Amino acid sequence: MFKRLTIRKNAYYDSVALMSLAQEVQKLPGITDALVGMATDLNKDSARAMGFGGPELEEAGPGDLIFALLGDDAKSLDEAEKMVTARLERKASAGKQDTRGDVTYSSLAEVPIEEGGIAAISVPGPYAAREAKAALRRGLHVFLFSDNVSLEDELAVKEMGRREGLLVMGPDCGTAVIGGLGLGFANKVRPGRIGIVAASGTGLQQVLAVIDRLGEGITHAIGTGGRDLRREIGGITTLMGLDILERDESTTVKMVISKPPHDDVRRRVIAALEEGRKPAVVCFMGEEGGSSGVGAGKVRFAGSLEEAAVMACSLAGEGGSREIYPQEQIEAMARQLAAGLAGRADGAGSRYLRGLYGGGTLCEETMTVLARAGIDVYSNVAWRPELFLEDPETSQAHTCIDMGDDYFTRGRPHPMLEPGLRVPRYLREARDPDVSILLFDVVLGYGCHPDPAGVMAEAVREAAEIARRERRTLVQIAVLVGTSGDPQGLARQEKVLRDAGATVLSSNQAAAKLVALLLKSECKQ
Amino acid sequence: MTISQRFAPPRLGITETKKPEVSRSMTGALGWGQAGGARRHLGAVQAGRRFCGLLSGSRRYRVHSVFARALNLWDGREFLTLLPVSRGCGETCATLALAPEESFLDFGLVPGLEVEARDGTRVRLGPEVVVDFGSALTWESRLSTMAPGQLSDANLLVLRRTLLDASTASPLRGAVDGSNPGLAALLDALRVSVLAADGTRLGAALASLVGFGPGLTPSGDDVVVGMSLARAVFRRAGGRPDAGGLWEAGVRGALARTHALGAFFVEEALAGRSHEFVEDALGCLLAGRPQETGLAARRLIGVGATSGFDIGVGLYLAAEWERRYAWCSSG
Repeated sequence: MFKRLTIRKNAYYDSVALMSLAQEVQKLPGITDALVGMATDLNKDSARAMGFGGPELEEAGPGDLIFALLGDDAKSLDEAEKMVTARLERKASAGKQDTRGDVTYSSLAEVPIEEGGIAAISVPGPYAAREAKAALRRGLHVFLFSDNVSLEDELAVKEMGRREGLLVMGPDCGTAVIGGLGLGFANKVRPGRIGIVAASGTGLQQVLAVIDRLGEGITHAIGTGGRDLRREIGGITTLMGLDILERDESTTVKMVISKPPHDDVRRRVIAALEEGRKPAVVCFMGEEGGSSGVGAGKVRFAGSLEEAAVMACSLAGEGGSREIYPQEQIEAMARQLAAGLAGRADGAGSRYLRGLYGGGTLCEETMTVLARAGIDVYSNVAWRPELFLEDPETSQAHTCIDMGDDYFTRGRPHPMLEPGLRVPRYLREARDPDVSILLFDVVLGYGCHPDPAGVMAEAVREAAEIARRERRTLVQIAVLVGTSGDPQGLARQEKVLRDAGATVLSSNQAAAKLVALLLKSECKQ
Repeated sequence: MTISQRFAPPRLGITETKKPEVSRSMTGALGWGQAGGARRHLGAVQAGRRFCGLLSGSRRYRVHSVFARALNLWDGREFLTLLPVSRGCGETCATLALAPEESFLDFGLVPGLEVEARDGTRVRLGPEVVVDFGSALTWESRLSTMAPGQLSDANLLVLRRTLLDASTASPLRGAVDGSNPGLAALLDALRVSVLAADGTRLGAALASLVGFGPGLTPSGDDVVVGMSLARAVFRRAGGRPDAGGLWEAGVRGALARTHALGAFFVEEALAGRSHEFVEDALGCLLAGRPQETGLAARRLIGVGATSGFDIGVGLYLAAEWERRYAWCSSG
């Protein structure tokens, strides 16, 4: 057996292209196995499994290309290497048009740009800053979907953007809607009067869904990435975004959605809002609502995403605020579901919630609502150390899991792309005899799975069957986040979930309140 | 130039949200890069123990056959089947979380594609599809720990009634309601030859049955699956060897008359293993309540075009003959 390991430093190629190249190499005569890929941990493991090792492999990083070959003789390895080199060089050449008319370019430098616009960038984290800077140099705003970008790189790119007067939305920016153009996981929303700056993808989607349900619309929804309001970044994109919304004639109400910012950054953001001419709604997740109590009092604080959307719609329109789920309605739902739980064959006792979220912000909002109700919830994203799950794979007592967290998405797609990856865990929770409530989110929009409710409905049916066999009662609650124009069909998705036996709510806050009431009623029994 | 001047929404216009410029192609940032750029990354929910060989890479499989809601892999000896969650699992099956309208036919999979295992948890079925077994639960057979007691007349009646009520267009319908004398005689030959230890007559009857009839797995194979599984469970409970009976030898001798997939399912049944719905139906028949038996039987009948029904006929006949003549324990 002959073997050869080649490592090319700082040579990034698209993984799809490399995978297909590896498959071609494996078919060459005299080649028994081949690996062509970036030196990720996974690919390095694969190379080790092929019998390769040594310092060169160990030192290789995700920015380096690995080319590992096993063959019958040296000539076969030479031929294979020649073929790979030729193919990689061809890939690096200028773009060509495919059958649909889409043109692929090997770098931003080749793209003919006649006027300003937005570059949407999604490459592995280590390469993202380089591409973002290239876009800024071309005069493009940046939508940076990539995660795993260092804080230093984020700051450098955003400072460069600020100098050039260009927005950098991200990194790890999941959703934006700019002048009607959806970027990332975007919902279809009407044009309207509300302008949003958001540091949370699913948080923004929940707000868009409520705004749509209340009949309002938006001007822009500018994503910032989750770290923009940290002290190190200083809210660069948030402040630039608010400036844009202030100057935009169509925007009459501004909104900011984020985790609680650093105190210094908070002061700057609130000051910017107070200095503006337009009323504003702020939702710093986990904080209580109220008014800012400073300046002209233009800023109102919301205690939840739903409340923020309702407030903004109220400010944009003429009517008063309209809750989607009035408290009485939630209480009535709770009474109905609690009656089913009370009547179960296995008797009453301590029973637990298990929440499996694809949207991290929604997960955190649920924990906030339950904490306000005095219910402790364990989580892989808990902010109280004593409630932090050491093993995200194992739930305990009441647990809510953010399955979009890095732990679950390393080497796997996000559950918004593949909701089915949550199903094994969902059914494992359903099998736990101490569990009586399962809670999950279904997020719609462009870029998301084409039928997420269909996938989860199968799981709901299966969980109900498990409970039936064990003569238990299981309440299954779905939070459906989407707008009436989303490509999956909001009404159809809701029906699919209801037909499977889930209780469906379109507000995460309302779902969390419902869970709190159910858990409280369980305690009383 | 101010930020607002450089910010160019007027060029885009204020309209309803358009389809995003980047969507599922933005997978690199979400870790798809490590999965080799697959378009779909499906979650396995449950898997039988026989998937270990595939996941460890110790056995090399290829795509054997692709259907809308089932995918068979083959290593030249053994089949593994991938099914949606709602279709049940088994020792040689894995269930995947798919939406009701999703089809394996849409994933660019064709027979002959080599299946590639990586890191013990993920399997690439083709250029576009990866199945992630990282969180899959191990499927446990209900029958493996079951000791059949006294066969209940009520359960047998429920199974018979459910078969008679089914609208399945199987040639084996006549075996249940007695409307096909030729078929009844053939099946009776199976019963009598085992009880009389007449291997020649048994071989002739099986030769007429194995490979006979419609369906992906022929109806004749399916009824033999049902009978063989019931025998294996009763014989295991009675301490009789699984493989050494007259029936078992006769069936193995007839397997050359059918195709590889049909033969594999029969071999599995002889070893006391089958698909979850088949095992559940037999388990309920042996130890369940009539209501459960009816539910399990209806679920079994829903498998395939005729397969579930035909296997149900095999289970029913073997159980009925066991009750009357101790047929499973004979031969």
